[in-house]
Amino acid sequence: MTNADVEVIGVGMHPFGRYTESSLKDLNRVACLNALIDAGIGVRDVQAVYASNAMGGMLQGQEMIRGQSVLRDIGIERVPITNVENACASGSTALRQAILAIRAGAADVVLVAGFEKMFVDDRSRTLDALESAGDLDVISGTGLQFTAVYGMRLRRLIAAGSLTLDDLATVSVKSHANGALNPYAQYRSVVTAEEVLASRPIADPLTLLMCSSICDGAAAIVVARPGVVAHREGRPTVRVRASQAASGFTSTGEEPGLTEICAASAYEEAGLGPDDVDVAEVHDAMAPAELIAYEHLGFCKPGDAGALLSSGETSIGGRIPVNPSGGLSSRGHAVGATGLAQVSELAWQLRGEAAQRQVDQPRIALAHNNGGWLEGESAASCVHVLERIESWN
Amino acid sequence: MSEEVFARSGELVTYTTVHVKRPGLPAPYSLGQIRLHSQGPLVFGQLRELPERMELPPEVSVVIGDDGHTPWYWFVPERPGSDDEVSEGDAAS
Repeated sequence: MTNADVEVIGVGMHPFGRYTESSLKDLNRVACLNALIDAGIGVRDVQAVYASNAMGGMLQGQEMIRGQSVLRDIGIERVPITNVENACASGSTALRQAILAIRAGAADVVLVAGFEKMFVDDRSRTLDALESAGDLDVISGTGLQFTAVYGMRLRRLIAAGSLTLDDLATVSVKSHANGALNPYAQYRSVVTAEEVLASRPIADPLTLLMCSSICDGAAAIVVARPGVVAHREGRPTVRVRASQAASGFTSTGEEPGLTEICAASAYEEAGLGPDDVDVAEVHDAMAPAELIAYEHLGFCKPGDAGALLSSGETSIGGRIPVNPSGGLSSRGHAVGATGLAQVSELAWQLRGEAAQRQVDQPRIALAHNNGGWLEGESAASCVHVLERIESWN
Repeated sequence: MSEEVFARSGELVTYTTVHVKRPGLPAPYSLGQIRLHSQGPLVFGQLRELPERMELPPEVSVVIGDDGHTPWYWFVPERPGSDDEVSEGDAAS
């Protein structure tokens, strides 16, 4: 154990979905209290908070102090609360700041709270807010939507022969099957490949059942310096092996992508490689983006993503299960909470508490969360690597 | 910093047709990424006048709007015999 060690001692979520009667405070309250109870601590044990929300300014009008506004509702006041926004990577960015605060010695016990409420009176307001995850000087008036970004990426791979439409449908079927096992998931119905391909077109080649949608939800994580909080009897220890972030650039399309850059840093920090990963939650705002992540995270060689999917190795019973939660496309994508929902799922997996979607005795877990868009590349990326310390009996 | 003049045509690297309308933008509409000729950058833009079927990568050229509306430029497929000059268009069309 070193001064750099940080443990994930508590996780909690409010289920993702549509909650028209719930406020941001309602959503956040459930997630934070679940995480604090899971950690076995009270609100007065929290020494600092990083609050993650992306759209509350445009959608709820709470342009400033979103964290202070929702956290006072559960009695967290006076301690430093830092508000974090990094588009869809807001949650993982906030987590990284919490980890850095502990490593720097600024705090021993830090709460990371992510909350988002995207269902509002007018759907076009939500689409406007999502559109602001790009550089408006460039995209204003063009009608850029995230579905279009992914549609363009996937069409290029299909044109090159790296992926097929069937691959896109198959990975969507897997996502929905996993989401159906997750009580926190927005979509809990299994679908067939035929249904996926026949659902209405969104942005070619993407169809409705391949895409994440508007979503409400919250997730929270408690991280701590080892030994500061009494260890819960029988609870496996989840330690942070790596926490890395990187920002996008104007891509030529020829250089390594942002996820590859961020993952390389994470693997280096962890002293591990992609072959060591036992379970992963990857950023699949559209289910087929999972296939791109296989390659960028090093789970397979370029061009082999379709074959890796077909082999079944990324299914819950496979060698390296990916998105056992259902991923963004089925568990849901409540933007500011997504990165923390990924880490919650991985903590449950490493502790053996994931019930029907439990993978086989994982030791190393990886979370990959991207956000925003610059021409040709995401604007932000975070990769976290977690480790279960105790062996499985 | 220095000013660079980019080519007015390029290769369409990828594109998509969006079926979800946005205010002032009826669906479907098309967006693409274009690698400008002469080792120019990869840029993003709206596509107009696309044929129903198209194999990647076709050649496209930029059209500049003239009424101050956004987007103020977009791309159209190059036609045989067209030169590499900027076309004037109507942003409202």
